Amino acid sequence: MMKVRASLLALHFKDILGPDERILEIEIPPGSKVGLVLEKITERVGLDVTSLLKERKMVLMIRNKVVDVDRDNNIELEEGDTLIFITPLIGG
Amino acid sequence: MKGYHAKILEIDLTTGNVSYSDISDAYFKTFVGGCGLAASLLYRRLTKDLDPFAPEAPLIFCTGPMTGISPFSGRHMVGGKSPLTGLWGETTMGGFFGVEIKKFGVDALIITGKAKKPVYLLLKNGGVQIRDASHLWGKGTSDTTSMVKDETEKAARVVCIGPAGERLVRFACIIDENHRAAGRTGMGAVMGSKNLKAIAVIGDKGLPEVSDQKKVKELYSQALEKIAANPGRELWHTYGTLMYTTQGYEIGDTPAKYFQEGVFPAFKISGEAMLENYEVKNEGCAVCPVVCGHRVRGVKMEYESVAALGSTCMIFDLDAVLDAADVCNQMGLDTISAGVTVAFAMYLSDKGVIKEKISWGDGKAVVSLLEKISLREGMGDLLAEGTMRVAQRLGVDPQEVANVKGLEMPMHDPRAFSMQAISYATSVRGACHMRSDYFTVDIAAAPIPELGIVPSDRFDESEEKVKMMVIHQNVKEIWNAGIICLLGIFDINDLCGFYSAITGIETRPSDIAALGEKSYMLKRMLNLKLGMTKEQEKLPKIVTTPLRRGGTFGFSPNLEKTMKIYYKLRNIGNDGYPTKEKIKELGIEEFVW
Repeated sequence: MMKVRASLLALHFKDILGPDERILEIEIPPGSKVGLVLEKITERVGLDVTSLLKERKMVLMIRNKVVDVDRDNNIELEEGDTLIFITPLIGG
Repeated sequence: MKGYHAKILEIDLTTGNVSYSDISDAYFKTFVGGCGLAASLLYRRLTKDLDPFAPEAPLIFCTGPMTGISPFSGRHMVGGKSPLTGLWGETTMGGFFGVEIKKFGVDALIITGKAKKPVYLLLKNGGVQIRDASHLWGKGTSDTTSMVKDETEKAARVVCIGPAGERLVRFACIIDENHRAAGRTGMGAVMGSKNLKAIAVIGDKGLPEVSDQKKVKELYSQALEKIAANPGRELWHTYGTLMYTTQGYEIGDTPAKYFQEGVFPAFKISGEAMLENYEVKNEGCAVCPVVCGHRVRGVKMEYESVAALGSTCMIFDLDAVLDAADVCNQMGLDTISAGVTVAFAMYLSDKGVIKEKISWGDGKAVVSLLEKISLREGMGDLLAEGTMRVAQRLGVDPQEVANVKGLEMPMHDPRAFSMQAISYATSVRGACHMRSDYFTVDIAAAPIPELGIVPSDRFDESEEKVKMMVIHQNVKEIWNAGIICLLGIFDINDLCGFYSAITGIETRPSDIAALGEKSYMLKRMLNLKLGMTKEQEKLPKIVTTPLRRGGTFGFSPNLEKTMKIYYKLRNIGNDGYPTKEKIKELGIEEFVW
């Protein structure tokens, strides 16, 4: 198994997770794809993150690049990867 | 030309002379309005030797063709020679003054001269009254706004300066209706140098005719429907820019400890914390269907202010941040430059360069320093000069000073987005995140796919990426010419639609980029005329040294590489000027110095 980190900072997580609960460590088998992590997050926090990503209500950044879940769902993750979930709105 | 009054009102405060003049269509067709138009109108008057505080130095307030007509157009700009940078200074602000001055019947208001004693202006029925403001001098911006309205009309829209502008603090701002700020480049100090405390305007003439009123109405209805259906509308309304603090933190975009720290308790100063702990009231600008402004504990608050006065100074106590922002708002200080300047003082105190002990995270010290800066008391008198001059006087290495060309770095770390770094180095007003807010592309908040500007690796420094940034920088010139709020739910197709219907000039996205290039190059040439050199187009080491932890861990933008690409793509020669061929292609030969 390997560990990846999910940083759940999109505003949709605000009412579900406290500030100290926004960073998740997720264990997945080596060679796992992004889709598996999305499923695990959905299961753990009870929020359909895949749909929210598809609707562009939140975006996912992996290795410094926003990924398109339809197109990039098969990206193979590596040990230590961070998946950053943010709301695609800008700050002044 | 439709969409404009084609009139300038000029007021000489030395003589009291008031005059109107016409603006030819050629200016509108070439530079659109707002910041581009203002730079073209003042191009010949601004010289290298001109003291920004001299009576003859012009201060311009300018609107654009969209002002008051499209959604998100409740804005105007203020411009002149910046006392902070010595170069072209421009700053746009929301609120209500912009629409009102356009309704007054002019596109631009130019103020020159210096009144013998403090005055304020009342613009009404096409006339100008120059009124005594001795009793307002020294007052804060909220009191000033209320008193001017009491003395004129409640319906008047007011902009004013605070004590900082009166004392020529080089990063003093202008405040609109106790609400929005023309923050950057020190235009509040230029206003203060003219003994001008406030301007009240009553727009009794109305907006100019547009080319196709039916189409404008149709576009407006469509825009409202689109905005209502956009999930971002509710989020913007609820959180405003404050939502960004924690997100910016995670990707290393929110600076801390004078740009030296990547890990800090961001949640403590987040929008979420503010909403949980304080009464928060929404405040919007004219013709805005979102209303994103927030007053927290009675204090107008935005992300830039929170980061500049909070994390940059290592203050994570919200009350202390709100206190500091309140001082800036009332005294009339640009919160970005103020926060960075105070953080610089903390940094210098740490290093023993200045004797006074100013500790990181000391909220009371920050409030005290901001008051002293505003009143130019004690050490505040030195800090009121801005970081560039403080460093020059104290013999500090420029590489340790977080500014570009004298304008303090805003709250988007150049290590977080490689194209933001170029944007700071090449912006027409120094370190500015609003002349190309490229970070919004790479977080997929505001890409422009119509022009091939799409999210990609935020650290990418390829020619393809720089090419996207150049086009983006051009396009944003027209946002600031329109003038459209950069935070609005308003894309380039909306811009084209409204601009076409208002002016009658059919415009496509590629035309917007082409127009923006003219505006960018004009301002670039203006800055070169005012003494800017190509060597100034770089970032200091304090903001490029890789951080050992946090969201930008280990990354430093390679400006040596990307700037070569940038100059090549822009056809800029060794002297910093665009080539003769480029100037000819753009049709702006008459502005060549």
